[in-house]
Amino acid sequence: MSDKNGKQGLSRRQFLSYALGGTGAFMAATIAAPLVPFAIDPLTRTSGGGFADSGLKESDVKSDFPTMVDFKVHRKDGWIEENVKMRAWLIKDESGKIMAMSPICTHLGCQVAGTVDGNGNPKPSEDGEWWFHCPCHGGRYTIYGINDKAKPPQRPLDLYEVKVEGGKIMLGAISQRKA
Amino acid sequence: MAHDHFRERIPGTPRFKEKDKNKPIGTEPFFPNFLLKEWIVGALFLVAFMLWIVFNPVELTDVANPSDSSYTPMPDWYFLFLYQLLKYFPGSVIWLGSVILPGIAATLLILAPWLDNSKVRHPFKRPVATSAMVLSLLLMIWMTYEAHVQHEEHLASQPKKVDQSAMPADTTLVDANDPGAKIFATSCAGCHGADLKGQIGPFLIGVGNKYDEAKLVDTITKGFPPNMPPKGGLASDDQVKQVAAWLAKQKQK
Amino acid sequence: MFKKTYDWIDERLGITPIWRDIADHDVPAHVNPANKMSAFVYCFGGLTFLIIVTQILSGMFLAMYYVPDIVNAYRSVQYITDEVLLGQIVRGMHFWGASLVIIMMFLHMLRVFFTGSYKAPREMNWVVGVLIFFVVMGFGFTGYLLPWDQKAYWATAVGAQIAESVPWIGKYIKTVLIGGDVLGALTLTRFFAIHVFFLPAGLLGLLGLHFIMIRKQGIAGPL
Ligand code: HEM
Ligand code: FES
Repeated sequence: MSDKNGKQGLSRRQFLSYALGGTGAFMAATIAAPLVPFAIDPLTRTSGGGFADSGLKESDVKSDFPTMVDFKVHRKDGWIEENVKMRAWLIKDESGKIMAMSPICTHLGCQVAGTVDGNGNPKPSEDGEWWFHCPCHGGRYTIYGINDKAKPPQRPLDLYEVKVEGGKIMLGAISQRKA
Repeated sequence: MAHDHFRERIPGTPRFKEKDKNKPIGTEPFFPNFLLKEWIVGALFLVAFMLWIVFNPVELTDVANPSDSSYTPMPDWYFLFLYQLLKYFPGSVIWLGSVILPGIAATLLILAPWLDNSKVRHPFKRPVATSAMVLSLLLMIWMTYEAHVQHEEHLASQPKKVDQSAMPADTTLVDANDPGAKIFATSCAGCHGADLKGQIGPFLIGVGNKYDEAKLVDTITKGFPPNMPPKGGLASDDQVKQVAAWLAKQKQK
Repeated sequence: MFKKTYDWIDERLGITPIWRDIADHDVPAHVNPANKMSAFVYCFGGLTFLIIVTQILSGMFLAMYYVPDIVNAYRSVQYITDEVLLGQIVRGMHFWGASLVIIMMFLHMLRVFFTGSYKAPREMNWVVGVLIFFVVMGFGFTGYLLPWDQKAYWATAVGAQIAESVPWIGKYIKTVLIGGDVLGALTLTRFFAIHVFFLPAGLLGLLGLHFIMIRKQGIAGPL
């Protein structure tokens, strides 16, 4: 670049402008340095990964129908620590492994209902293989939480991480299954 | 600094005021010349500020307790001169210090341009305005200082709460029925607490970890005048010995 | 690309004269510390503004965690101080910045006073300046209560008592100030609203006037 006198290189004015930009950027960075980490602090807090006692024993879980359980998870929400009520449906899959399903519909988050009789005991579905039904938009799932693709939900029910400790079933973080 | 590209513009943009070219030396455009200098000062200022913050963490006192009226209130430092002013107008004339005087001062400050309305600007050429401001300044500084000193004095005169932060977690007494314990209750407990957790005097839980019996006898006998009388106020050396023997057993962790 | 966008906007709004006016106006030698060291006193106003900017920013960020209610206020401040990443620093910026604003503003006022810069035609800007001063004191008073710790509570209690000492109407002033008969939940919400909505609105308005007048009138000449 050349300035008005035809000399090569930066003009004085351009040099000053760059220096000004640099100083401004330095000040902005100094101020932002504590503020940005402060704002993104939640990223440093993983959602626990801790396990909670479901209250069920290994032997309580059947392989024909899912069993429902309500349990409490200790949750730290900022400075408020509380025990949050959670629900899970547990069943042993064909290989005998315990799977714990979240009853939150994978469509828009309604709570799905299992097929149970008046006493809350599981019974066979009158709807073929579909055992869980969502009250909201007709979503339905098998006993293993596999969704009916013809209905709104496009993903099986989410699973809790399961750990068995001395016969007691512990439930951990929730993760999604692939469609 | 008398370069002639002083008032140079970004190539292609018009000169703003060609006629200003012959302004006195030292005059310069706001952008970027002057602003750069301002911002360099600003950047240094900011760095100093951040360093100060890093080395001076802000404290948080205990949660507000409306029923604890023993807390000695203290406004932030820049209100102290006003706070101090109140002390000179006690009781029924407090409004002189809380409304009238500050009101007059504020009014004078707002009206300064009309009160000091001569054409001259140099501070030495308007002695009334200058000395009034200097005087007010000195008064404010002095009152702020006084308020601070009086606050410190007040705090010192308060029975201070013992600092229990270093006290062992286990506070059960060892040998609570020891004869030494009974003697302790007659005098020492008034300051150190019957539970040894301290009141006016420091806590003595775990004191056996720090001192053995001989050292305790020595310390108690000397006392800490004027805060603790010699022998801790006990009548005889024998009593001191028994108390010391009991205290030496207090080895709570 | 940038130039095209700029031209497009400029064609419609004619923004060039606005910033050219600010960018190209000449700053006289006597306020330039590079010319004469003692001119650093002319930096005080700008430095006050810099700290005001950091106050506004740190305040906005603190508000991400702070809760203005007597059950949670203290705990949220505790959470900021002890747990949030660099919370100690961000709180420190706002806490120490409050004092620094007062100091710099005071120095700036003294500079204006002793150089007689408030004289005609700048009387109005002086008045605006004094109003800014009061607004900033208001920030200090209302902000001091927000952590809801002992220091905060009892300092405000004293403030409320002082308000009560005003003849005749003192009682009413106090009630309105603390939002009731006792210093409590309603005081905190009130002080919070004043601290983060009312006073900033006032301050920004006044600062706008301050700067417009400075630009219009220029800096007072050398002594
Ligand atoms: C938040 C507070 C304030 C800010 C950010 C601020 C900012 C500024 C700035 C940047 C200037 C340009 C000159 C300089 O920097 O010295 C200025 C000038 C001025 N300020 Fe302030 N100011 C504030 C408060 C005050 C106060 C409290 C007063 C008076 C009571 C005041 C009265 C004036 C006057 C009269 C001028 C014109 C001075 C001249 O022409 O030489 N300002 N202010
Ligand atoms: S939410 Fe369950 S089907 Fe829509």
